[in-house]
Amino acid sequence: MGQPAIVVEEVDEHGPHADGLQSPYGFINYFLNTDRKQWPSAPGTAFMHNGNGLNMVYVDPENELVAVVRWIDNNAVDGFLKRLIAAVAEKS
Amino acid sequence: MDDAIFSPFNPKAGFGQERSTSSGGGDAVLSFRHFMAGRRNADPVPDYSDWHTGDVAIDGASRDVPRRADWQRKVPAEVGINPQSLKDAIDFAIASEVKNPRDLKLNHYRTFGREPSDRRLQHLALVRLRQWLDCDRRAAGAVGDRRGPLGRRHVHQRL
Repeated sequence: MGQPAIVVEEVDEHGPHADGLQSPYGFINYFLNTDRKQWPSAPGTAFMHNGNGLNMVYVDPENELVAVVRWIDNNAVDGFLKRLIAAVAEKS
Repeated sequence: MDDAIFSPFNPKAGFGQERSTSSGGGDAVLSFRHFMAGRRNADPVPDYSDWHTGDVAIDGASRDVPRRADWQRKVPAEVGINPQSLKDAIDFAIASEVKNPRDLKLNHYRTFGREPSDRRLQHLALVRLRQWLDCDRRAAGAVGDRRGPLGRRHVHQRL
């Protein structure tokens, strides 16, 4: 058996969305891609956990994709996602 | 709900414990779940309950994930990903690496730790804390007399 996952009940219940906040902000440390404003190359359902660095955990349910990137320039995130999603989209 | 105070730091209210506002009246401490439930509006929230990632069933009975060493390793071609395109993405990320210090604390103070509102919020917190402590005047007592008015350093000491 593996280690217990860190899953907060409230996140299970509500998803990453916290209403009443500015659009990129979600529940706790969820950064959302509402209306594809934050990362135009990624689906609107994708979200990230971002930390200082920039260190990021990108989660993309539509493409069944999770990507962890460390020390990337914040301005290059969308360019990276564009290339990453292109690589996955070329699935045969 | 309106007169309720949400405080995750209140020792009387642990997470997951819900307190009814109707029984006690007045100020009530709610759980985080209760708080979030009150903030929800009618907008549809995507249902992520059926997510499954490998052995992880988010909404299932199991909340276990594989140990670090147990994760399957596959090359891009095995899962139908174009290796060259993936390499392009990785190369792009590497080429876009920041030059910031790897010391996260140092990096923090050089980046968003210097946001304009930082000092303003600090000042506001100081004013509020002075009001709360009723320490706008010179603190009483021999030690307080030497210290003078409550300054930033003293506030930190009290915290």
